[in-house]
Amino acid sequence: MDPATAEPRPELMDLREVRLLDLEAIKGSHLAHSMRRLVEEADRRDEACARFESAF
Amino acid sequence: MATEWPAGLDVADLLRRGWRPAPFRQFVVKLHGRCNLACDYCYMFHSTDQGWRSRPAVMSRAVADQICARIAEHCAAHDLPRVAVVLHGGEPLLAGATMIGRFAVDLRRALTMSTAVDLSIQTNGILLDERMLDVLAEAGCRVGVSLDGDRGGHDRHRTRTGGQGSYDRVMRGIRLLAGERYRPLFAGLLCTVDLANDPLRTYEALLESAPPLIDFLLPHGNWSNPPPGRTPGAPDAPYGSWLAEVFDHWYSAPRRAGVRLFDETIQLLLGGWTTSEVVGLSPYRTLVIETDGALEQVDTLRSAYPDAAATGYHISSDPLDAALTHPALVARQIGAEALSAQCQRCPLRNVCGGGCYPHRYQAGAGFRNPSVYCADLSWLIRHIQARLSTDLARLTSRGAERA
Repeated sequence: MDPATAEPRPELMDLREVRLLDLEAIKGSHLAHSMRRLVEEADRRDEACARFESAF
Repeated sequence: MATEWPAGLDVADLLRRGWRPAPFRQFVVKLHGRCNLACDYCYMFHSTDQGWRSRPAVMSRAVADQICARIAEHCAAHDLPRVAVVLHGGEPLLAGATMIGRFAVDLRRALTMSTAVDLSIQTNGILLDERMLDVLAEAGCRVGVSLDGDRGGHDRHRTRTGGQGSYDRVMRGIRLLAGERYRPLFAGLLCTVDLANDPLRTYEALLESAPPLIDFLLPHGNWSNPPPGRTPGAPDAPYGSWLAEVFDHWYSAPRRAGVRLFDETIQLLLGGWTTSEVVGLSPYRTLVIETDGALEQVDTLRSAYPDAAATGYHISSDPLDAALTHPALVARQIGAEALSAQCQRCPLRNVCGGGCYPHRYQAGAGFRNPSVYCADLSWLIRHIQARLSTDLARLTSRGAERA
């Protein structure tokens, strides 16, 4: 649920679930492309957070 | 206009509450302010805003130099590792190969080693020839071209000043760009949706040159000046169903080209991030610089009312940071706070993000309204959501079986 709206959130998956999926099974599809991008972006943000935290 | 939102937006209060503007990361530079086409839907030349008439046709060397220095100043102040500069118009290729090449060299020289620049140009394709493409290749400048589908669809709106269609000339340029020699420069195609065009024929025509990316643009309009075929507030979704038909075709096939609107919607539905202007709630971080050096908001705002894109700042007297706290630009960076009450309550809020900002305008109220395309966006997002849900259920059950 989205606490601001008390409605179900439109997001369909938790990132932790995405990381567990076997993307080889849908290789070449738009969905595989999107999931790969999602994970790469999450990793970039994690790295940026880690850099930020280590600076203080 | 003083009562129209965001004119009364209290930026000082936002700053007191801890909000901070995000620095610009895209600069749209108008090297040339005139065009060699006379497209009937053009927001630049055929809207109520006729500001282009009082601006110089071509950017002066002095203004171009100031732009390079100001962008460099902004990048250094905010420690930006990468920015995008988009050469735009009018028709930017009218500036000529020499000016474009010189600007690219000056820009890269002005930016320090710590900031990379993604340089691109958005053109109607008429002047794309080998000499121009050689200069763009030398400048490291990628090329996006406007093409509205097949000949019939394209020539319905994108005409020469004499009324004849531009399709043949544009396709000549696109074929050259998409060929082996210049292909690395090919950034993609921009297509304005027309309900009179068959969606699949339009999409297939765009795919012919194998673009890496396709951008579908909804015709600009708002609650006071509705887009063609869109009755404000009506529950039907002509544009949503047009796009959904393309989505199904695109999504069912192996990935050949990205379609920005679909890719970004999928990212948001999956809980990811986007920098799109059209969907989502990410801060919008683009600044436009006119041929005379005026700092402006996105051009498409011209479709709302005259001077809607103005900020009052100028490259010669103001650092780019000045524009970051202009209420109209702040309104593009505060996410859900900029949305109407109806959008705030909507379960699709985080994905839709209220839609493209100019499409929210209503005379007398301003920009704090749902998009005039609300029904279409809702239709399309729910359609994509349904397709994804089915596939994800299949994928996760397959994973569970293996486990």
